[in-house]
Amino acid sequence: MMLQEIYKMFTRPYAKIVLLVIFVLMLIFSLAFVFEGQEYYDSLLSTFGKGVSFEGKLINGNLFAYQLFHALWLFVGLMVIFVSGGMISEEKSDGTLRMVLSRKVSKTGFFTARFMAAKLYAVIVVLFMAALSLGAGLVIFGNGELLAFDHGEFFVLTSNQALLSFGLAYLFYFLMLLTVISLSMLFSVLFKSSIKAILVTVSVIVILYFVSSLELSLFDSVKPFLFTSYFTSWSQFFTTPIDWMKLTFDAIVLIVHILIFYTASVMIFSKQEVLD
Amino acid sequence: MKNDIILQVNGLSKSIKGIPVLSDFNMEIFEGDICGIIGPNDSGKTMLFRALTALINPDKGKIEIFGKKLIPNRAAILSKVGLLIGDPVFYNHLTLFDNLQLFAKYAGLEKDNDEINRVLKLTGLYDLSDEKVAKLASGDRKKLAIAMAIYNNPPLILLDEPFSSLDVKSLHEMKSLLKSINRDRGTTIVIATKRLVELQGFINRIVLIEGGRLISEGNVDELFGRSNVGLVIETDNPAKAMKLIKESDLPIDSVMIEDDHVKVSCEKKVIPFINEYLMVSEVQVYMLRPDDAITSYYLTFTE
Amino acid sequence: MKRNLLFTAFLVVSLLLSYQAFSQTGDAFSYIEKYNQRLDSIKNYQAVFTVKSEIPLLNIPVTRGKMFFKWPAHYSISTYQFTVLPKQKLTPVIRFLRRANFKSIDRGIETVNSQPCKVVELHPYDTTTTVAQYTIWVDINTYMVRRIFVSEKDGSEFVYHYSYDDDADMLPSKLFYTFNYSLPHEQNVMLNPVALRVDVENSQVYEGKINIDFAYSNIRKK
Repeated sequence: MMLQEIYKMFTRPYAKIVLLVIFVLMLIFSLAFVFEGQEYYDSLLSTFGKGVSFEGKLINGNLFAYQLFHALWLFVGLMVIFVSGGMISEEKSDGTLRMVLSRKVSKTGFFTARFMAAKLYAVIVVLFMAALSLGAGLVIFGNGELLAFDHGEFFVLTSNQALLSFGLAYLFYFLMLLTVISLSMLFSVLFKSSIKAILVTVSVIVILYFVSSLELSLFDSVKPFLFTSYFTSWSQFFTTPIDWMKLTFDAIVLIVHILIFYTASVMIFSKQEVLD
Repeated sequence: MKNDIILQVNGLSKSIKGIPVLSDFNMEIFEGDICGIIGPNDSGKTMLFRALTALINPDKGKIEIFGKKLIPNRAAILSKVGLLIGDPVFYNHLTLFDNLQLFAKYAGLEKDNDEINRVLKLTGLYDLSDEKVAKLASGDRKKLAIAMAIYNNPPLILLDEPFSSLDVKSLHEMKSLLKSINRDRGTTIVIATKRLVELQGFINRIVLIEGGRLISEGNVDELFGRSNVGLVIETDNPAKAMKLIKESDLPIDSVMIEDDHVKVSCEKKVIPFINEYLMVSEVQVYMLRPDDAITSYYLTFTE
Repeated sequence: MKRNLLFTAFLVVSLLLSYQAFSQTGDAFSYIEKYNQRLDSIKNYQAVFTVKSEIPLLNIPVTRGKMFFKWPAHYSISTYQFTVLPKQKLTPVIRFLRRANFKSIDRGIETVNSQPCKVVELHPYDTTTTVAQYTIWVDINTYMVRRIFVSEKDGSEFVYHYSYDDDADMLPSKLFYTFNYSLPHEQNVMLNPVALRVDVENSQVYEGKINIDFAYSNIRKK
């Protein structure tokens, strides 16, 4: 059944529009990178004063992909909601849910198939980002060391280290996307209108991420419980040494959230009656 | 001899937001029946169909299809049931062919292009098979829903308002199609409608529903065939005609005046004698016609 | 290219001036001139170097590079990876220090790496230059430059510590470089607002350290 759901998802325009928007965002970013990148990085590196000079090729495909990742991760995460938020609610409002569920299909099976299709979409989005940023970046700008930054600290990674970091970061970002998707599918189960499901998901994520990002001690005790506090953990794969303990914990937190959202969705959905 | 019961509903009750939509509903449908479930708008027909397909959870009661309880055997049962519930809905961005493929999968059936083409041909939609469903007229959407319902020759077909929005020709074609499926394959067909006229001469079993309650159910032959027929007499003097018939020795069950016509309930063989008696009594008989038996039957219970 | 041209200009001018100066005086500045004179005995060399850095807020792996010199002024550095290097040259090139441009003060003798060194303090006459002073430790026996301290008017301080395996070659086997810096109050967050969220104290002055090991080959003398 998953194949049908994937087919349905990709025949809808939203899935393609989101990929197109990501592509356009990438093009816009590429222009900024090409025309102002060097100046920007020179300005960043001037942090270390007049006592040092930096040798080697800084502008390269790894840096392009890294910067693009930083520039787009949140937008892409929100864009994916446009697809996943309508996964169930759209079927409800269109009435197709009635047609599907009056067949052999079980509610859990149907939800899981839709969830898996959304999951595959997340994989495609991540691969699309990787291909367009890392793939195209390496082809256009060449390989080289990656200058990464995290919370004011700079890290230079060898090209091999960078490749590994990208792999792990994309994997973690996939978990982040899955968390977003599973939350949006929960709201998709709760609401009949996909617009409502999308808006509520976006609002919840924006508010929680805002709280997670605020450097106020007032929220320090709350932050560990917000899944949005772990959304940017992928960037720590570009630090040295990688804090495996922390990142494993962060990944587990996201996986637990995914399971909670998924289980809640299945429980609610299986008890819902189809009255439309 | 009665066939086996293929669908049985016992004491089915369901309330939505405190309002009862089905109340202690009972129904029996036999293998090979073409059963009409007849009731006005909001009488509970669609809700009954939702219950028959486990789209809603009944508060009380039991549903058995193919001799098995619906709830634990939902998937196995529904894979053998052709369905149309409520307005036909499809994935509008997909073609007719793709929709059929998709719903075949949902029904747990193997994708079979020949079967898809067969049902499209039977419903007269073959030429439109590559069109997007969004472009279909409402009548064609109904036909597509019927095509889905008959896909893979299920032994039981449940159709909710299948003939609304069909033009006269399509209505005739679809009824003929269903009749032939019933005749050739012994398929049991259950049709819910609010328009009696659609089912005249088509069904062999009738279930009357109103306010979520069963009013009556029975075999059409038993209810109308062997009992008296209704006769409507248009005359120049209905009052005189009624008086004459009432006072005659003719074996009639009842006589009354309705809408300036005389309505008589009697055996078929009595009709020529009534006609002759009125003529000799100098009552001008303009027309003798049969009464709409099912309508009368329905009205008898609902009025 | 620009760097090489400047270097050539400095080299030519300083060569002329240093010969002239050394012949005229025997004061503190003469130690610098003596060193330059010795350094000029080298015709060419090349070296592979390894850079290890300990720079707060900048984590950079160990990198390698190549250095090439050909008398009189062809000097080039290439690195295999992106890396950080001291701002000036990797070897103690102080030919550009012209006697006429500095007030030199003799700060006596100090021991550096168990070697007695003349401490020469130079203050530029030119008030527009960013440099506040140079202090150079020159070995009194070998005239090797063992340490250079550069202080700038904005408070920046750079120290070059040189170690030699073979004094005869005049080329350092190790350079230990320290420098200080503080973070700018505003950072450009144009491209990645999240990553540049600064968790460090802006007013703090940090000290960076760079260790460079050299392995020479093809050293030729005139």
